[in-house]
Amino acid sequence: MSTAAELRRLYSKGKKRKVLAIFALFIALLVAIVASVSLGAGSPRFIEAMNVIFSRVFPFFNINPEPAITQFIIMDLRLPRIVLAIVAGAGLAASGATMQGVLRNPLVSSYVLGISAAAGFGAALAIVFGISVIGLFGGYVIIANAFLFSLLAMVLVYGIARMRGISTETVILAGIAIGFLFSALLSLIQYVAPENEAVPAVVYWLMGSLHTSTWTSVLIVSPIVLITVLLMVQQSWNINVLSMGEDVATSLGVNSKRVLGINMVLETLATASIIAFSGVIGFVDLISPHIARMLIGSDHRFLIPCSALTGAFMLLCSDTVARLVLAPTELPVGIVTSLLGVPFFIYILVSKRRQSWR
Amino acid sequence: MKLTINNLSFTYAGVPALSDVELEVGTGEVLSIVGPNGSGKSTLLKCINRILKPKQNSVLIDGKDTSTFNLKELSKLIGYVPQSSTSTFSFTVFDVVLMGRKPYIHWSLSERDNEIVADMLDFLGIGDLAMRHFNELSGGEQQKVIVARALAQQPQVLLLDEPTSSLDIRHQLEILCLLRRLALTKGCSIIVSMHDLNLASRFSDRMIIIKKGKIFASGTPESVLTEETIESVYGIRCKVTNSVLGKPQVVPLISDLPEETTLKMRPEITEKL
Amino acid sequence: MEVNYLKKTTVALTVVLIALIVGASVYGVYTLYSSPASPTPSPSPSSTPSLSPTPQQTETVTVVDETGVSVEVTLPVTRIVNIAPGAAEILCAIGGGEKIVGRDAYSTFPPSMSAVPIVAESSFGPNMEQILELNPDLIIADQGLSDANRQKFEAVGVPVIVEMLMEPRLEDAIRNFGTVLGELDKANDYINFTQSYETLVKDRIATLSQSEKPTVYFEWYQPWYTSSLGDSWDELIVSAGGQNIAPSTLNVSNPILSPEYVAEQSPEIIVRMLTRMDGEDNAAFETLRNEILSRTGLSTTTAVKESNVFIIHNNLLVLRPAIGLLYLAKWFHPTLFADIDPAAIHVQMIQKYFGITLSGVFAYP
Repeated sequence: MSTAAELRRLYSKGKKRKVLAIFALFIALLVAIVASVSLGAGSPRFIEAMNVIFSRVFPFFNINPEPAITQFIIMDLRLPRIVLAIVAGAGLAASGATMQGVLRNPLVSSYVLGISAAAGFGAALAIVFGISVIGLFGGYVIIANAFLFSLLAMVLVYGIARMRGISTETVILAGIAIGFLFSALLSLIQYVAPENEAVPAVVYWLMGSLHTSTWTSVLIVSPIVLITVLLMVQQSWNINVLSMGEDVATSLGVNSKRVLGINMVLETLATASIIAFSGVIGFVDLISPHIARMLIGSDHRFLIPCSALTGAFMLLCSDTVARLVLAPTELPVGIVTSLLGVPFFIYILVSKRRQSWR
Repeated sequence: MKLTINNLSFTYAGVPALSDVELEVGTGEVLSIVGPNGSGKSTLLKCINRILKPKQNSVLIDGKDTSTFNLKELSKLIGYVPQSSTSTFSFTVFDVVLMGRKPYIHWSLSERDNEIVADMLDFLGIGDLAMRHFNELSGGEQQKVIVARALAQQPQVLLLDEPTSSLDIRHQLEILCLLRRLALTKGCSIIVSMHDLNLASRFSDRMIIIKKGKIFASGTPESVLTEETIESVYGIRCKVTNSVLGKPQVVPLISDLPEETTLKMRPEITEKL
Repeated sequence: MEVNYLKKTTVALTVVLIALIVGASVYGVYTLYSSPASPTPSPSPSSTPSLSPTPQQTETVTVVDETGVSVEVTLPVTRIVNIAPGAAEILCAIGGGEKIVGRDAYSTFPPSMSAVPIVAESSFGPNMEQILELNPDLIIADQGLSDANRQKFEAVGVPVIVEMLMEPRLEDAIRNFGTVLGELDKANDYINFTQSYETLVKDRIATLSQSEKPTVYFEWYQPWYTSSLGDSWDELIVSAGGQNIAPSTLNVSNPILSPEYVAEQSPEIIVRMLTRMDGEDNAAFETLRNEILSRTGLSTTTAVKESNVFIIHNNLLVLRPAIGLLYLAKWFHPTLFADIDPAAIHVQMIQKYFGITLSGVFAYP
């Protein structure tokens, strides 16, 4: 029989292991960043990249400056893209972990909730017809449209679920229904697209890609993702408790409907702002939480950050491969994410003895 | 701590589930609720806990209406052990019990939270399960973990919904002894719904028996468990004897059950019963 | 029970994931390699039931269309349903405009087309019943028309010609139209008109050395979408005396080019294509050009620094490539083509073949 003190020691040991796993992921991400900044269709490699970055960080230490074009490629083309990949991956994965937790369903993703389809429809509307729900918006028509339609999908899903008294089942079913609705509308647009050029453009967008990243997009997306993810982490205890069922959650002082509502808003804001800029990047939000769960268990206090790091790592690696594989041509990152992520995930799935959900 | 229920009624979408329920539980008292399936036992527990919200609230704790408490305040007073527990995602036993501290924590855990969890595991004698995964435990072990979680809430009232239904006889006794111990040492008021009349009789101070959402009888086990009461609530005849423990013991007779249910029995046995 | 469940879940998930892999690959390959220029030779329909020989003398001609099918057309053709958007313009230019009795929604030039009823959104979605009720003796479609729909038309004895109306087949298509309209002279005249300018450009740039040809980044439709070596737009750029920076090793139609590659190549000229969907007024051209001039990824290129950024209407690259070629040539080699005014030639061409005065913007600045 273990004594109480022994138990506490065991528990804190387990906690340390989780922190260590998160730290290891962080290191892996750093390595991926260094690799990513050293590779690309342009000529700058590791030495040049480090030179540029160090000379920016320590301007007084700038002994032999790299040519302007090298600096430009590293600072204005590679870095914003790397940062956006990290932010997008982290945001999508954290949203996935949160919604799977809140809806107590390991298959939930932005696809299931109709957000992706709605964003795709909004973007296609802008790409094919140049129509925006808020009139002309400069070069941001596609982004604004994708974002607004995602929010619209969330409002619809919430509204429908609300009519029947919010529950996980109604939210998921309403999400699937709304998703199908927007997919159908999207197909309709592709079908009637007046010019041949429009359809490939829509298809590219639906596969997701980060090649248009700029510091501006980073500056817009990052704060939204940072704040929403922090708020999601803040919900960890509520989500943990919800895992035992709504009745138990209530008896532990948690209003499950309110938690569901709050998290739907957070998830939609994060996901919508990301895919508005990147196109629909699937799979990351579905799979990262599972990988994270296999690594450190289901305690959302650790799971959400761990999932975010996993997602960031996954998307950054995928995007780097997408940049390299056919260089100087770009591959849509969505393809790479799935092609790389699925075998890796299957490996983890079959090699792990324990099942982390039921 | 005194829990009072005045005139409680509840309907599910127009279908009455409880009507005019009145009861009172005092400090350190164990009250068991018995009654046929669907008679409203679970509903009653959920109404006390405000998982279900009756139109007119009539649950009072020390004279204070519970609908004036917010969920969090209430969860510090009332612990709840549901009929069955599963977790969608896999948590360790320690994590599950830690959830019982939810009403007290915002984000970070204090040393005290860990201490309480460890104490509860110890109290229930399941310390060696602490790092096991909840979903991989047996039903009896899971039930203890869930009780430990409810106790980690440090409640003054503990509600248990058929905690022994799916347990073997040893686990049944363990859980019920534990409840008595709780009532005695921590002064918890305990309300427990059950099917086994003999266990209820043996472990509770008072009993109520519910039929179709109404309290049919209430009082000490001796006053509630009469042959007439059981016949009119359950529709079966039985013999009530005095057990070796000095509590009433119910032995059901099956001779007047519909013929097809007893057909397979040998006649000599049927007659004896 | 537990183990069983785990097994089931694993199996189910594996199946789903494998489906995902396959789906993603197929999707990817589909988009990457579904090039519009790969003609799939469909088997020619096995001897369409020829109508019972009519007593009066009829003449038939046979043309080979883009799909490689030999189409037999009975002359004279008097009722054409045209659901290939570019074809209307060419049919009108060679004297067949009057014969068009039905059209797709996007055949809007010349303006006389607006009087013709619409019987298809595009070749993807023909209204079979409406089309057959028009009792056409020829249907012209593009590759959007499905094989099944084509066979349905042919089964009732209506010949179908499929043409995409793009280089390098444009002249063949025009000649085919001339043949079936019985207007081969006019078709040749139209071809000669365009060829005369192609020859002019060819002669003038013949003497240029490779180093005198500017490097060009061509973009269509969305940022970083370019045109790879060997496709029609690339050929136009080369014909106009430019060097396309898109690498020749690409086997991808409609590739997206890496921004850092473009930055390093630092093209001297950037040409962006405008389509109907961007808008067709002056402001649309200006918006597109300003986007490129202010795009971060392009800010270091010679073209942006020297404001050598040009916007061209997609009609000039597809339907009237001779005019497009003149514009490109003049942008690439302003002194060499100082005497050429593409806009004026464009106006003259429209006047000559359609009898109307051209209005609107087609290139900027």
